[in-house]
Amino acid sequence: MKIITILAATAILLLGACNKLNDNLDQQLNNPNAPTPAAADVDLYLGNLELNFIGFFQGNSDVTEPMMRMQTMFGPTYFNAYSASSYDGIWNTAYTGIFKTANTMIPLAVAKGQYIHSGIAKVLKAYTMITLVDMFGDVPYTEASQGVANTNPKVDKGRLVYDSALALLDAGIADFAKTSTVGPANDLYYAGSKTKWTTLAKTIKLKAYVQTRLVDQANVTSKISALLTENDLINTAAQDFVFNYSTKNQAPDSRNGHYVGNYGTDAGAGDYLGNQYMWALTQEKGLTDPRTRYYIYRQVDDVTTDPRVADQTTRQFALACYYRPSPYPAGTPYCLVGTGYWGRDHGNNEGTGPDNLLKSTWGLYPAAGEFDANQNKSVGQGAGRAVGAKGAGITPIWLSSFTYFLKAEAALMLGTTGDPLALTLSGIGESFNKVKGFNTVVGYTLPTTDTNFLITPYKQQKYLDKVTSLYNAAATNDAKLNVIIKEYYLSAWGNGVEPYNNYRRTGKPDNLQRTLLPNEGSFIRSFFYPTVYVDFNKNAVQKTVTSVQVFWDTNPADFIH
Amino acid sequence: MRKLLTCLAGMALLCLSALSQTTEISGKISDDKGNPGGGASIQEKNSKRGTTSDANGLFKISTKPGTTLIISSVGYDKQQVAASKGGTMAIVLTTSNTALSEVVVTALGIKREKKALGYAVTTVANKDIELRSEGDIGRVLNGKVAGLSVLNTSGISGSGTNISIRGISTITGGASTPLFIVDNVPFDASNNGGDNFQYGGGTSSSSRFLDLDPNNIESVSVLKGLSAATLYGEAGRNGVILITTKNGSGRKPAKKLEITGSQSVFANKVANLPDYQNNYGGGFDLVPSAAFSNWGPHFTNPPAQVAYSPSLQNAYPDLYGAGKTQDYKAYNSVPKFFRTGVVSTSSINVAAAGANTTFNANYTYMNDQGFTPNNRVFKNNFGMGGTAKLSNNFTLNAVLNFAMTDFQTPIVGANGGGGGPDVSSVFGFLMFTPRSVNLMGLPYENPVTHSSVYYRGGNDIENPRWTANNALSGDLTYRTYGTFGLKYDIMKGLSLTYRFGLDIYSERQSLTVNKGGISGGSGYVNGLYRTTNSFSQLLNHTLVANYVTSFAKDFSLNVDAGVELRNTNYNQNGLKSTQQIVYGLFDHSNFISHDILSEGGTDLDRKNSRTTDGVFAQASVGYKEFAYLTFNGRNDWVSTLEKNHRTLFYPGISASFVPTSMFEALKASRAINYLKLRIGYSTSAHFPDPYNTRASLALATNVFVDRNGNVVNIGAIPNRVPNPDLKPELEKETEAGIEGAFFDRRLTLDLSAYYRTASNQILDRNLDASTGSTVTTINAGAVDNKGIEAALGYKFVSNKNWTWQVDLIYSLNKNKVHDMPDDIKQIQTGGYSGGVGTYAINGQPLNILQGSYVQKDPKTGLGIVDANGYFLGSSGIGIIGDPNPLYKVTGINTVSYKSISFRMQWDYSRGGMMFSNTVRTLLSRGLTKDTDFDRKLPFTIPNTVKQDGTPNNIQQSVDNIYFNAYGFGPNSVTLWDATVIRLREISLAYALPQAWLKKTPFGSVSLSFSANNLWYLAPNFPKYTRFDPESNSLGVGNARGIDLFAGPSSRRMGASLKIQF
Repeated sequence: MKIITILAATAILLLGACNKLNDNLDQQLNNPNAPTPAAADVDLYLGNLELNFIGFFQGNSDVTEPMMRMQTMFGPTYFNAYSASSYDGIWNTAYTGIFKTANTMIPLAVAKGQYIHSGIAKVLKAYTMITLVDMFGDVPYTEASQGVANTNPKVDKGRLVYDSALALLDAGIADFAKTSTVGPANDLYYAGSKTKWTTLAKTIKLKAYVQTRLVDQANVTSKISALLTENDLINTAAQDFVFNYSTKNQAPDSRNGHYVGNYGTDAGAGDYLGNQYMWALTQEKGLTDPRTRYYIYRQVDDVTTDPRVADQTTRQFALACYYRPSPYPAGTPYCLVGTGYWGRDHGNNEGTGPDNLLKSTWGLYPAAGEFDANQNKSVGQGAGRAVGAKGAGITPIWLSSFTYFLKAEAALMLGTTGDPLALTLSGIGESFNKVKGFNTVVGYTLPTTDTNFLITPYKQQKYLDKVTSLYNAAATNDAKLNVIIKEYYLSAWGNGVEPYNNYRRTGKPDNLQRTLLPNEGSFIRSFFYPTVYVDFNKNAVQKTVTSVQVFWDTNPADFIH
Repeated sequence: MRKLLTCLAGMALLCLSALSQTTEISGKISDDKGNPGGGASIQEKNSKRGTTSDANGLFKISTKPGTTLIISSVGYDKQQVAASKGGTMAIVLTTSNTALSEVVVTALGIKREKKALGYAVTTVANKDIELRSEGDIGRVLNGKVAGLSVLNTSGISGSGTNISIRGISTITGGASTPLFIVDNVPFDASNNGGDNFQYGGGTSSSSRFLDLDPNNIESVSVLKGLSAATLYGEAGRNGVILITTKNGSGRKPAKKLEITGSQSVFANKVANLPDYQNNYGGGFDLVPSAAFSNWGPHFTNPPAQVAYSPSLQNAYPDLYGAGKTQDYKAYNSVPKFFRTGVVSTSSINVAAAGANTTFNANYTYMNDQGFTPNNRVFKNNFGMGGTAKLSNNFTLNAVLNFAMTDFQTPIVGANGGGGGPDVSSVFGFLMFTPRSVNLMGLPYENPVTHSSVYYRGGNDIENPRWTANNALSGDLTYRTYGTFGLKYDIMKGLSLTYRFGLDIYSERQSLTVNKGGISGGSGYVNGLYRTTNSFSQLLNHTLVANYVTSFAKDFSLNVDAGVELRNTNYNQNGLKSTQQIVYGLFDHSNFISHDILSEGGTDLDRKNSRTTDGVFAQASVGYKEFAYLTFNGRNDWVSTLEKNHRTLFYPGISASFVPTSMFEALKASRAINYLKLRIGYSTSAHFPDPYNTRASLALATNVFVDRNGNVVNIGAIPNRVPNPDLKPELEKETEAGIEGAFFDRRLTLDLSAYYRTASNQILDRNLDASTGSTVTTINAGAVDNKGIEAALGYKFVSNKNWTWQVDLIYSLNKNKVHDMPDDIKQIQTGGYSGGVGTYAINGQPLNILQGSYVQKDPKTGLGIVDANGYFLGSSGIGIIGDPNPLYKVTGINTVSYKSISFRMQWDYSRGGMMFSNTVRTLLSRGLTKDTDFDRKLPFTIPNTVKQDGTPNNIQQSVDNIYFNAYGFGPNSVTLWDATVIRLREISLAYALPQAWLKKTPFGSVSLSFSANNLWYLAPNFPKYTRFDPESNSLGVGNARGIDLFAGPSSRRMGASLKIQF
């Protein structure tokens, strides 16, 4: 009897408890750490999209600047310049940060009549598609972004992705033309101006057409002409497509990445700037580019006399190349440019010397570092962390100067309207103005008023005259193109993406420093596919050589180094 | 049918005849120490009639005087006595020593005779656990149990420990740490490292079984297979470590009150520093400089003068200013950096017993100083427990333990061995300190600013001494765990037990980095203070009914059935502050900026909860004490899966057969004393972590602040795709084994073989980002583990004074990933994406290492060098090695003479590949004697060909080759076979003869000397790097085989004194 009572009581208790237990289990299914997707808001997505976009651009610029000798490629060969995982961030940001966010927010924005939001999403997505092709060649697009419905997207031809991007730009332009209910709460690029976004969309089209001129000359010529006729392009600095950083240094660090990496700690400068670029600024033309003091900050004015590196032991280690003969032909920069432009040669993979308080680093423009007025002072060791414009710099994604150089190239090579030289000079003028006015934009007082260091109208004119004479002296279109692209290169400081595109399209500038070792292998005509793609996508086939060309690059193999 | 009738009729007759002449016989059963023998079975021979003794050992039975009674009690020899009339029969039980009646604790605390078990259980006695130099029970068990694999994350005192049993069955299911059951209730043994391995996930945070006190352990049973652990549900699928504490054992001391005190003191030293060469100093190409590398000039050819570094000159202009010089010589800095830590353990145990009660209390204080400055663990363990047998058939037991563990270490993050560590890391810049750098003889901080100063010209690396003194991480845990149990004997053979288990802890983790450092970027160098307070709660209710009976003539039946409700809750709050104002003070108000994300980007505020409800049953049928068949099964309902997939039933069956009890011929055999064969098939479940089935929004606030001060907050679709169709995973295991004792019990054998399959795994599947996401959880893929576990013991000598016993413990496990769906190329399980990492690939062993590799010439198979004479690497990654050891053998040699005993434990682990950044860096920077050759001679990488297939004849300077081949070469170049032989433990114990103690108050006094990790050899690593492969930079998890400067291992030696009153 006792047993039966106990068993029965237990059974009843258990049965009664069961329902309650099951409810209890249900309640633990929702993640208490995050809201449900219903909490999504178009402006929250836009913030995510715009920040991912600058991350994507900067990621590309960081690997292309060393290709273009703006920063230093360690190498020593092109094959081992980067591991494939170096591009994982670019890939992840493009597909999960930009495409997914854009794809999610566009229908939401359209449903609410927020056409500026949807237009921005389309333009940024289109730019990303174009840049992915420029970097990697064929990439997944039509099969991409389907989540678990297609876990191994196949690549599309670069051409098709370009065409889709152009169509998307038109769709974005159409969105901007509509009347929008509410504009973006905080658009980090154009403060919600649909006019400027429209201009950007059209400028990206111009960029894409010029980029594909080798494979589609007749077609792009007419399209470029149409754009030039309308001329709703980024022609003034006010329309520039840049990302603006601030001086906030922690929680969150909102400063320019180049500033953080070179001024952010007492340890001094982390990056090596390319000797080639500094040589082109200071010596190649026989006159100093007036932008030099804005672009580059020298921590040591004169390596040969400065007590910090005076004794041979110290200098030998900090600047080992100083005591070795140049392996380059005469006329090529090597080791040290002048007495203070201390960078590094292309493909120098030696261990890094203790030179971070000595070598040249990013200046005022665009990283918002220090203006070089011969301070002869290290950026670190107590001097650092709040030096210069405190990191409130920009990333120049597309500047008015770039538009003029493209117009010049199109006029020269495709015969579109305009005088190539005049357009080039306009481009240089835009660049000079951008750089000259930069301290005001970032709220920084220059450490000097000495005109020896500043851009003056006189120096500007001398520079324009020099370029004019170079252009006029150029016998062939190819040589003239070299002048145009060289000026584009020198105006693009802080942007490696466009010079890298230009180099593969035109082969210009034609005198870039070769690698320190004689056997550098083929130039990277497109990057290896990222590890995250190759390792987790069954249909991915990694490139085995660096010489694979993207669809718009029909130039001969090894025509550039 | 007729047989049955006959049988029944026969039984009725027997009963009748018995009834006719019965009289009541009473008796009292006691054990050999005089304690009452409750719960013993008293059975009439050749009859069904019987009874059990009560808590006082008393019984009454009606029988015919002279009838033979069979007295049996678990753990004691069975005996037969003739019933005698008049007075109380006094029956003294004798403890059984034979394997035949060995009793082991099995799942849910059920005690069973070992011969009835159809699966493997290994028991480790307290003498092999207590008075050890290690306070970490995981490390203490290393090598002592076949099939149990223990891998330290590093030699840092208090760092995490990996434990796994019978291999690793899950691809992405997290660490395979077995279930810890302490005093019959679950105990959280996880590692709350939080951030990933790069931030020292397992090296800089403890495994929470560190909170256990090895000196308070009565015994440990290791349940290895699924058959053994099924009753615990899915939590037991990785095996179970069943710990009975002294407080929970209910053990009766020999005297009414027994007090035991012990004190141990050990020296803790670094075990494996490289053999540095003493001929060359810092520099490159034989040119002296403040390089990271040690390729400078010969010490016989010193530079004219060596000035102090600019940072040192600035900090101490008088002492080290301009013009002052230092000697260019070998300073031997690294060995001097380490210290000898003292590990001291004081423990006191009080045991008392009444007629129906037992009581035990225990307190232990451990102070474990690491060999690295500022690494230490303080442990305070206090606990008490007792049992009471009440006269109304209730038995009560309760245990309550309190642990306070305070762990602190300089930060040990992952390190690439290149210019800078990924994060601040004490071993990062230390191990490859150039020989000519005077680390210990010069100051490490600026006396005014407290910032780090060091030898480099640009002061661009952090002085390791500064790191050790200024960048610390730690956790402080207050933990309460215990159990309350109530057993009710309803009737003979039927009892009901309720048990409540409690395990609550609060853990305060902190990272404190003073301003003035160099490493880790701007977030570190301005000062960093991160604190997390977590609260973990594990509550468990179990109700089990046990029914024991016998039927027919020779059959016994033992049934356990019950329910378990188990709930875990984890709740963590945290804050990270940066930009310290006043040096040295760690309080969030002393910092300018505050954030809720860790350095690795994980949210410091998080919570999760999960509930598992289960019902289970086990029925064991025995026949004549030589054949046993056990069925078991459990059904669970879990809160981490959607309603329609949340339940799973998983059954098992096992059998054991004891020929030595069956065949008369064997019963008397001296060659085969005991033989048991067993076989079992069982299943278990695996349920996913919470919150994988429903979509959510990823929200991040304060991501960017623009020039106008606008704060940007963002919303994103998480990169993890939820899967509402996720189902539980069923694991299956077949195991068979032989146990035996031979040749007068000189030789003992316990051999098991198992085959385990976990198919349709709950798998975190990597996705190519072009799908829009990077990971999802699916049911796919399978992992097989098959292996052999053997324990072989031989007693060479056993006489009055001498015993000499040798034990061999062997574990072999092979695993393989298969049935991966076609659309999955591979799954990454650890390490760096794109760099060296561990993967699950179809047809390969689990966690196979992939990385970049040297391209091979198809004709000759030799490695190819590029045009400059350096290795030509691959553009992608490929398989470079299998990190899983082939097998492990432990040999234990025990010799005793009278009361002196000597014990020695050797471990040998064969095979398994390991990628080591430590070794890579030592070689590429020319530090160890491996590179003590004439450095003026040019060098060509041997056994290689050029890209055109012709032999490599490209000469480079030797430092360029080493630097490029090892330092920056493909990952496959710095991969070595991790075979290692080790003298794990050696001890000499002496117990004072009882005769000496007779006139003293002491019951026993023993003294022991012991040492841990006294010697080891990893013969396949470069000789002078003296690398110890027993470390894991990937922290506590399933991935192995990667060292990223986890640091050296520890060697401990000392003495212990134990006194009993």
